[in-house]
Amino acid sequence: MLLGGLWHGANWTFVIWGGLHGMYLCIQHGWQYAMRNRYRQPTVLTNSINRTLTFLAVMVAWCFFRAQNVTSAFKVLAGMVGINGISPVTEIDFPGYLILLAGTLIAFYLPNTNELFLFTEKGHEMKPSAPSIFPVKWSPNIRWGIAVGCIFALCILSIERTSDFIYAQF
Amino acid sequence: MNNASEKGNLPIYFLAIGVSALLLLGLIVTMNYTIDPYFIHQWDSPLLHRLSPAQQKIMPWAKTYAAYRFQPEVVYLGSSRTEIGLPTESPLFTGKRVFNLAISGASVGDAVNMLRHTAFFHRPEIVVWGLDYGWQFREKTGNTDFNKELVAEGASYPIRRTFLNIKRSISMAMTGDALNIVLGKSEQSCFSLLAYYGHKSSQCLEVIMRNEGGTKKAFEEVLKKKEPLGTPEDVAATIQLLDQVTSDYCQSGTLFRLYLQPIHALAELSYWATLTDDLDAWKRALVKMVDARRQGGCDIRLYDFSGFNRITTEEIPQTTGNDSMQNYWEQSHYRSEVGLKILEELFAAGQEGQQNTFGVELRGDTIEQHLVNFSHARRQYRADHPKETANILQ
Repeated sequence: MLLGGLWHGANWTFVIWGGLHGMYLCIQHGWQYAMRNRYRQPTVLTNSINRTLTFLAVMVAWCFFRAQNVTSAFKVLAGMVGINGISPVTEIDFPGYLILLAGTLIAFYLPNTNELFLFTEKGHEMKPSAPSIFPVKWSPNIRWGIAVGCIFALCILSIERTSDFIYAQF
Repeated sequence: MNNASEKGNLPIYFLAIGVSALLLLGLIVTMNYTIDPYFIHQWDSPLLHRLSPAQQKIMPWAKTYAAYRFQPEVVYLGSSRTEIGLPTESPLFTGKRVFNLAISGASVGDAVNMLRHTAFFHRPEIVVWGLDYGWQFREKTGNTDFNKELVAEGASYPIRRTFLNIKRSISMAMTGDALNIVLGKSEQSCFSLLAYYGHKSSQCLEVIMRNEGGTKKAFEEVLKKKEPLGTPEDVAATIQLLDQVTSDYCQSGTLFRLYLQPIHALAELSYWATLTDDLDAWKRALVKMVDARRQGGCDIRLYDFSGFNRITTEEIPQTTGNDSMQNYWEQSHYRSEVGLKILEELFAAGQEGQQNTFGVELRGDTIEQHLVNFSHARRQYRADHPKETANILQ
């Protein structure tokens, strides 16, 4: 994973990003090994905890990936945990929050490529669904196709951004 | 959990994705292209009489299309200062097709591209070009909306442009703005710049200044202690570009009038506080280029309207107590009345009866004296305005 990080660019931020992901994988495999004789069917609670933990871990790694340097990344992380104080986010308007909510639902509940491949490999049978607090379950049918197609169209529309070039006061 | 609702058909699923995405995109693009909220393909169109927001988006698209259709004989090039300051309705150009092709944030490179674009359809007879010292004096693009694909090349431009316009209509922001127009929720402050042949109208500026807090607030920023703005990236290369493009068009008879922008004296002091030697060197380099070009037979002149003259030293609202100024919208953007004076001086040069001018023609034989006068006026202004200039570096 360190090499995977370096592949993105010759910068310590990418190395740390790769290293963090490597560390996460080690923890995950270690945990699976340690718990191999104590498997329990996941519940809504354990799934929620797992997802939140994974989400936070990946978010921390992205800070290093995106930052100009390691110092900046730590500054962002410090801000994220509230070291610089906590204040309401005013830069995002209501439609912005709606987009974030939609993005969250897509990221957490629409199938990822692993699930799609599992579907095809198992002869059009879904793997057992993980328990979820979200009542709707994905299935490769026309309704889901139309819904995903509309989301895809909106993604295409979002590629082109209209910038308001404003120099000084104008 | 292998119940019937989870079963499906992957080919049909993917087909549904493709068809629904295409249908939705087609519908949206048709709406955006028809309503055209940013006027990217309008000229001689009733849509130009539609009231628009004061801050108009992606103007390089609108102006390059208008240049292609209108094919102006007199063009203005430059940044937002020229776009706002130089009106196209001037008795100097009666009977001529005049268009203000200046764009906000334009670099010299952008202006060159705009000139090449309009000249592809019709070589302009007259080019009035406002030059800015600072980061905008560079070859690279300044206005990030000025896509190089917009510059005409080859006979296929009309088809290519139509394709570009359709492609540009695939945009979430444009969809939002088009929907706002359909629903009657769009800001209706002023007419498009195209309705004034590329000039940003006072009507729009009044709204913008009101939204931004007014002239007084703008000057508050200048009065604060600040570092000078950035110097040009590569003066020699940019002057070489200017030299090349003026040479190209002079040979076919185009007349050039270059001028240095009259930003307010306080802005002049604040922006280039510790850079006066660099600024002088820049002016000398420009004069050298223009003199050489003129000796080569080109009708080209360079004027300096910047500095500490009767226009630029207008007292600011903090001193007068007024809300607005006669010559300026804010510290770096002058009003159309000043623009008209600039045009008059640029084209009445050498004529008898020229009095009370505020610009100075820069030539090899006048530049050194001009720089001495400029420096003296700068010191005098500081001495006369100790309160306003207290925070400005020396």
